[in-house]
Amino acid sequence: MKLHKATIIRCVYGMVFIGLLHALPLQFAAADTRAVIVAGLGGNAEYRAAFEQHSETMIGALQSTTTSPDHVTLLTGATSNRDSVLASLQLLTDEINELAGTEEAVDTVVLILIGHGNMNRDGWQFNVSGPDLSVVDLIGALAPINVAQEVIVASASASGGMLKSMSQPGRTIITATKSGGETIAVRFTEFFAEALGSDNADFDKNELLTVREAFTYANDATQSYFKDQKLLASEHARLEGDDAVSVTLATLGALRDAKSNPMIAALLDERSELEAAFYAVRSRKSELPEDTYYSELEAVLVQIATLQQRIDAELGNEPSGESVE
Amino acid sequence: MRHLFTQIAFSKLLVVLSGALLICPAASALQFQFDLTRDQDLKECDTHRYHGRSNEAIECYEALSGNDDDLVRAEAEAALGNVRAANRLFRDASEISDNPAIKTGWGNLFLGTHQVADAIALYREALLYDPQHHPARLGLARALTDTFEGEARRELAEILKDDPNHPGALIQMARLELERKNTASARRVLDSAARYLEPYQVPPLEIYALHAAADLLDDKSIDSWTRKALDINPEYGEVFSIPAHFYIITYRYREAVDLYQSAVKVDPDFAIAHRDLGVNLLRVNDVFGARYHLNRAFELDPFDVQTVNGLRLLDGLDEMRITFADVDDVNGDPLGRVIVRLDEEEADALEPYVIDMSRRAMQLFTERYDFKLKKPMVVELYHDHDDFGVRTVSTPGIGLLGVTFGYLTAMDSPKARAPGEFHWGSTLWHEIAHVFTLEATNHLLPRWMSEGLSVYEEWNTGPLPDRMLSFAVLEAIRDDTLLPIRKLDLGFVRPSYEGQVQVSYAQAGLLCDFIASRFGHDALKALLNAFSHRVPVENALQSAVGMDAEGVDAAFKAHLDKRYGELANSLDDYQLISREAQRAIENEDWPTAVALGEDLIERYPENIARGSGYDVVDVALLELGDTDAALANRWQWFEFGGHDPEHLQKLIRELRAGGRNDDAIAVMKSLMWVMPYTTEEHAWLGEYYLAENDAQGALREFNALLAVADKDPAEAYLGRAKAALINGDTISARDEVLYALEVSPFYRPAQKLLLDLHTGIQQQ
Repeated sequence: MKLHKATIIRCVYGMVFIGLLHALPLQFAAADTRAVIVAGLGGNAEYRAAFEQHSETMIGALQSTTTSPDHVTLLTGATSNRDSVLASLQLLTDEINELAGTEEAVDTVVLILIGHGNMNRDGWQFNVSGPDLSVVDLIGALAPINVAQEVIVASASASGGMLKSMSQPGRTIITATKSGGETIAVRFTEFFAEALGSDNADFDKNELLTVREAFTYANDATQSYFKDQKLLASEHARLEGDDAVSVTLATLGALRDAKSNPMIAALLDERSELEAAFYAVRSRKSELPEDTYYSELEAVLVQIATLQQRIDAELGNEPSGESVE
Repeated sequence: MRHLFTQIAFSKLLVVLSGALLICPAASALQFQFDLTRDQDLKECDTHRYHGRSNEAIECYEALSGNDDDLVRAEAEAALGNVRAANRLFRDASEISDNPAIKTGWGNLFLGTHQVADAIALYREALLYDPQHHPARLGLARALTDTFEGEARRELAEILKDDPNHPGALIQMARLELERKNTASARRVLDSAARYLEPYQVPPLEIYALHAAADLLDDKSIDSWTRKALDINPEYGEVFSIPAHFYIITYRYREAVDLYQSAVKVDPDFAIAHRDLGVNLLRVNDVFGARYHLNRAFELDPFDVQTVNGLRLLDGLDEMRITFADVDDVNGDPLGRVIVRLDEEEADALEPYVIDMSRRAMQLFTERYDFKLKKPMVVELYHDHDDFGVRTVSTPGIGLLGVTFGYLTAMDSPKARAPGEFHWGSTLWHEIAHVFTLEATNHLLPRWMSEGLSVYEEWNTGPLPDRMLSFAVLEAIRDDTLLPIRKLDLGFVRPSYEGQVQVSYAQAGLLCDFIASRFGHDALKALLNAFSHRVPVENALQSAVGMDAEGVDAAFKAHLDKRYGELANSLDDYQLISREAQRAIENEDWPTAVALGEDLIERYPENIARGSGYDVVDVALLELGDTDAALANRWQWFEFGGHDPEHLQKLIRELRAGGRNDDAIAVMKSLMWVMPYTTEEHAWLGEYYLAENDAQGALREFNALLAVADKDPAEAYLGRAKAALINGDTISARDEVLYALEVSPFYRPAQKLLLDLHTGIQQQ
C-alpha cells in the first residue's frame, strides 16, 4: 500500500509558478492541483502489477504539476477500499476549504480510478477491496469540493456508465468505455499511463501535457491496438467537459525543471503571451488568405523560437535542430 | 423470355420468408424441368418459355392461377417471377402434403434467387419424403456444384445409378467434366443426354451451351452451337454466359467479357450476365463499363448479393487515391505505366513503396521475360480484406492475399491483416510476376506454370530471401505425394486434401526453380513461348528441356531428394528435437536449449518461422547473457529471410545500439515490406537518407511517417523541410517547417530551422 497523505508545503518559487500559470491564457489556468489516484482490485497478479505500475507512472506525471509531491495521493493495495477513498476525498475537501481565498488556493482536482468496474441497478461501481465504490459515493464525496476545475478519469471497464450521472459544469470526465455495456477489462489505462509517462502525447511540444492531449493519445493508441490485432474493439473511450485543453496533467522537459527558477519563470510568462498570440492567429486560419495566415503565423513563431532559445540558454540546454548549410 | 420474368418480378420486388428472410425476383438463368411427373399444363407453359415466346408464356402461366392444385399454382407464380406468392403457395402446400415435388419446387425458387443454403435444405427435405425423387436430387447437385463438387458428383451418381439415361443428371455431369477440362468426356456425356431428352419436353439448349463451352476450351469456334441454340430460343443468353464461365476459370477475362456482352445483347434483361459482365469489366479495369452493367443488374435483381457487393466496391473505388508513374528502362526508354489505387488513409504511407517496387519489377520482368507490357499495369491495395474479396471473386471472406487479372493486380494492403501476418512486398512481387507471365502468353499458360513462376521470382528476385518450405511440403516430398506435372493444376483447382493448394504453390515454385537451375532461365521462357502458341504441356516440355513430362517428373524428384531428402526423411527427428528444445526452455536449461536450437538451425537453416531454432537460441543466449551471440543468431535469421516484425524491430534497435547502422538500415528497409506503419523506423530511415543527401529517399520516408503519425506530424514535416533544403528549395522548406510548428509550436528542431531560414531570408 502506498498512501501519500496530502500535506500543505509551499515554496516561494512554487508560488511564482502558480502566478505564471494563472497568466497563461490557454493551457496554464490551474493555480495548484491536488490529485488522488486509486488503483482498484486487480483480480489477478497480472492486473495488480499493471495497475500498480500505471499508477506509479501517473503519480510521477501529476507531481510535476503540483507545488509539492505530497499533493498527489495514491491509494493502492489493501487500502484501496471504499472507506479510504472517501476519507481521502474528505481530507482533500477540508484542505481545499481551508485554503480557499488564500494565495495557496487549490484550483484543480484530479481523481483517477484505475481498475475494473461494473454496472448494477444503482449504476456504475468501481471494484475495490470490500464494498465497491459507487457512483453515488463519488457524487457525494465530490459535491462539497469547490474548485474551478475537476478532472475525473475512470479507466475501468463499464466506466462509460458513470458519464451521465457524473457530468456537470466545470468537470471534465474521461471514461475508458462509452457505456456500462462495455464490460471487458480495458486497455485504455496502459496507453493513458504511456501518455503521462513520456513526451509522446505532447503534440504541440510546449512541455505541458493537457487532459485533451493525454486522452487523444490514449484513445488513438487503444483503437489502433484493436484495429492492428484485427479484434472487435471492446472499449470506446469518452471525454466530456470543456476544460480538457486547460488542465495540465504533466509538465515535461525544461519546464519541469524550471519551476524553481524565477528567471525562467519570467521568460515563460513572456512565452505564454506569445503562445496566446500564436493560438489567436491559428484560430483565424479559415478566415485569412493562406499567404497572410502563414505570414502572420511565421512572425509569431519566429518570436516564440527566439524566446525559446533564450529560455534554453538560461537553462543551459543545448540548442537542438540543425543549421541551414 | 427473361424479359418477361424480370419485368414482372421487378414490379413485385421482395418477399419475406419465414418472418425475416428476404428472397428476390427470378432474374436468374433458365431452369429446365427434368420432371416426368410435372403437370402437363405447366409443361406446355414451360415450352413457350424455353422457346423465348414471352407473351404466350405469360398468358399460359397466368391462366393457371385458378388451378386447384397448390403446387401448379406455386410453380406458375414462380415462373412468372411472383416470388412472394410462389413462396406462400409452396409453404402452404408443404404443410398439408408430403409430395416431394413441393419442396423441390420451393428449393428451385430459392436457388433461382441466390439462396443456396436454403435451397439445399429444401432439396434434402424432399429427399426425406422420397429418396428416389430425381428432380430434388438434381436440384441438390446443381446447388452443390459451385462449392462442393465432390458431393454434387455423388448426388448425380445416385440418380444415374437408378436411371443411367437421366438427361438432367448427364448434363450436370458434363458440366463437372468441363470444370476439369475433360472436354472429350463431357461431349460424350452431352451426346448421351441429348438422346434422352424427348420424354421431358426440354429442348437441348443447355446441351448446346455446354458443347460451346467444350469447343471454347479446345480453342474452337463456338458459333455453330450458338446459332443452333438461338434458332430455338433467340433470347437464350446462357449460350454465351455458360462458355464465358469457362474462360474465367482459365483466366481469360477479356474473352469472357466479349461473351457476356453477347449474352446481354440477346437477352438485355439477363441480370446475372449483366452482373458477371460488370464483375469482369472491373477485372480488366473498365470501371465505367462495370458500373453500367452492375447498375443494370441491380435494377433487374436488386438483391443479388454479388451485384450489391460489386456496386459497394465501386463506391469505394471512387474514394481511393489514384496515382501513376511512367517507368523507363536503364537506357531511359519508356517501358510502361503503373497506375496505383490505394485507400486514401494509407496512400501516403504505401504509395512510394508500391511505385518503387512496381518500377523495379517492371524493369526486371520486362527483361527476364522479353515482354513489354502493352497497357498500363494497375495495382490496387485494399486495407479492408473483404473489399479485396469482393474485388476478386465478388464475395467477402476469401483466403487469398492477392489476385492478378492480367494487367490488373489486386491485393490486401498490410493493414488488411494483423501486423506482420504477411510479407506484402513479396505478395506484390509475386502478383506483378503474374502480370508479365499471363500477358506474355495471353493467359494461355497452365495454372501451375503461372503460380510456379511467381513463386520462383519471389525466391530469386523478390524483396525477401525467404525460401522456407512448410512441413506439409517436406512431408509430401518424403511421402512422394507431389503431383506429376500433367496433374499439377488439379492441386490448385481441385485439391484432394486440406493444404494441397499451398503444397502445389510450393511444388510449382520448386519445379520452375529446378528447370531454371538445370536448364537455365531461358528454358522457362521457352516454355512460356510454347504455351502462348497453345502447345500442349508434353510438347512444350520436350521442346524447352528435351524431356517428356515423365522425364521431368523423374528428374525433379531426384533433384528434390538430393536437395531436401535428408531433411524430409528426418522430419520426425526434427520435430522431436524441437519439442526437447521447448522443454529445455521451460526447464530454464539454457545451455541445452542453445545446443538443441543450433542443431535445429543446422538441420533446416531456412526455417525462420516462429518457434524455429533461431528463436530457441535467441531466448537461451539472452538468458545466458551472451548478447553478442544472440545478435549474431538473429542476424543469421534475418539473412535467411526472417521477417517477424517484432524480431526485426528488436534487431534494428540492437544493431543501432551496437553502432552497426548500415546493417540496421538494411533491416529497416526489410521491415517496411512486412509492417510499414511503424513511426520510429520511418523517422530513422528518413534521417539516414538526409545524412546521405538522398532527398528522394528522405521524402519517401517522411511522407510515410506523415501518414502513420498523423496525430504528431511535426517530425515528418521537419524531415520534408530538410529534404527540400537538400534540393535547395528554401521556399518549400519554409512551408514545411511552418506546417511543423503550426501543430507543434514548441518543437525545438523546427524552431531552430525556422530561425535559420528566417536569418537566411533576411540576409538575402
